Amino acid sequence: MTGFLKRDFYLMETNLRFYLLLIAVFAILAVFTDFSVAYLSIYLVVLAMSSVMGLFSYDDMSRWTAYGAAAPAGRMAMVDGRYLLTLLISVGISAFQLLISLLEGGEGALPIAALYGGGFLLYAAVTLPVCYQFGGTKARTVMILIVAVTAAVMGMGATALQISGGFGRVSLPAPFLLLPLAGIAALALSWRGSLEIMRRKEL
Amino acid sequence: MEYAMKLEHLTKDFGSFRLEDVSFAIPGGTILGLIGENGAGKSTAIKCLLGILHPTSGQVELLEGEGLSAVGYVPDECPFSDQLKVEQVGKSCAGMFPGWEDELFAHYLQKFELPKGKKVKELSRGMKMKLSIAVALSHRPKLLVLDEATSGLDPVVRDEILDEFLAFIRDEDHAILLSSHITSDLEKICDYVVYLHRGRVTISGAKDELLETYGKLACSGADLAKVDPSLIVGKREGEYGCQALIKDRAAFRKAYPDLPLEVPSLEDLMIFTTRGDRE
Repeated sequence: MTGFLKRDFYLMETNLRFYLLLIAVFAILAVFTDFSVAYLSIYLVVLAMSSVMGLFSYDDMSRWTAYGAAAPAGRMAMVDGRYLLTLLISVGISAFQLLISLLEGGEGALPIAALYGGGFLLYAAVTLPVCYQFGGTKARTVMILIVAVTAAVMGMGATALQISGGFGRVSLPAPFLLLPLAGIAALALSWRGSLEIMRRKEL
Repeated sequence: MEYAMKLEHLTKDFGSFRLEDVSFAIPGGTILGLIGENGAGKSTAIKCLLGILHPTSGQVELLEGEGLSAVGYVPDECPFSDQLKVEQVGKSCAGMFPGWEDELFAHYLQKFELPKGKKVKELSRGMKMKLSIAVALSHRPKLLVLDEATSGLDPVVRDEILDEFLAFIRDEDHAILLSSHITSDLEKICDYVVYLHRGRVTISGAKDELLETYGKLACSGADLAKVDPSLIVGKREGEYGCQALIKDRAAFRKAYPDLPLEVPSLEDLMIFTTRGDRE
């Protein structure tokens, strides 16, 4: 499994410069204007979502899935690696949001971090089996729809909060802390489903 | 090890295409060439062998039960993403294949003159193929499976790669399954040949025996008309003469001692069998 995980990291690493540039731009905007740095977290979640999907496109382009399946325990290890990567990204998103919230001195930092991390896990739990079933290219249509709806909801929420002056400082109720647990449970079910899809799939 | 690989009555039904009752085995220390026109079922057979496709029926036995861990696979297209560097390919594959040796991978990179800092997209087709072969060899496989690995390569690179296969096969525990429609390559190095035509095994056996059994006849139309049709596999009739593939050289020589027979090539076997099937 480590081989598949490493490959995914290396492929995502190619976008790292762009992400760092984005963080720098947002940081500068936050320092010199009244721009809320909380937007950065939203963008990073969307980027993480599209990056995970991008991995399936890379798989399709180089016919990696068929090659990986010819490795010992290849089919299962491929799925395991990508789900572990998803979990790690979710931890990274939560940690980043927590840091931002703490830097801003806002209350309720933990529930917001839980919202971002848990939301990402729920998104992944839905889209990963879709990608395994249809492949990166066909699944793109479904994914675009999900990303668009998610972004629209987040955007509307952010706008509403900005109008009310609460953007980046909103306090979410404590039950939001349970969202990552719901996300992990959904991801576990999704993982079982993806394993079954890959076990049967003709590559 | 008696057989590195055995396929028994393998059938794969796609609806529009059917790989039908394919059986063959590769003895240890030998190279088997899988030949056939495009779409004959070579890749399907290999994918069933490696578990990439699920056979409809039939059995596959790899390395007497050792399975995929001792198989090195080289597909027709480089499976590594263009964005990866050569060294990253090695690091990824190290975690995929038990028995991976970093030193061995470094040795092949040096031997094939593959710069480890280069991205896959910067490599030529020949270099990409060499990278795939380097990866396949770096976990010390016993069976090497190559699907059209030499197609699209220039003769110099092809020759270099064929030399590598011959070096690999020096170990009696090793074996190679090489699919290609470039029959000249297979003729150089194969011990056994299986010819797939429209999803079925049409010709199968030791290469030298096959080439001794069959004969290529070049004669006039009038002479060809005299030949017993049951001896003719396929024929080509032209304005200035005719050619035909004869299936039993000994019987033919006895019946027609005046007609000249040449030793056919694997390409002749393929072309005339396909023609005979159409006729």
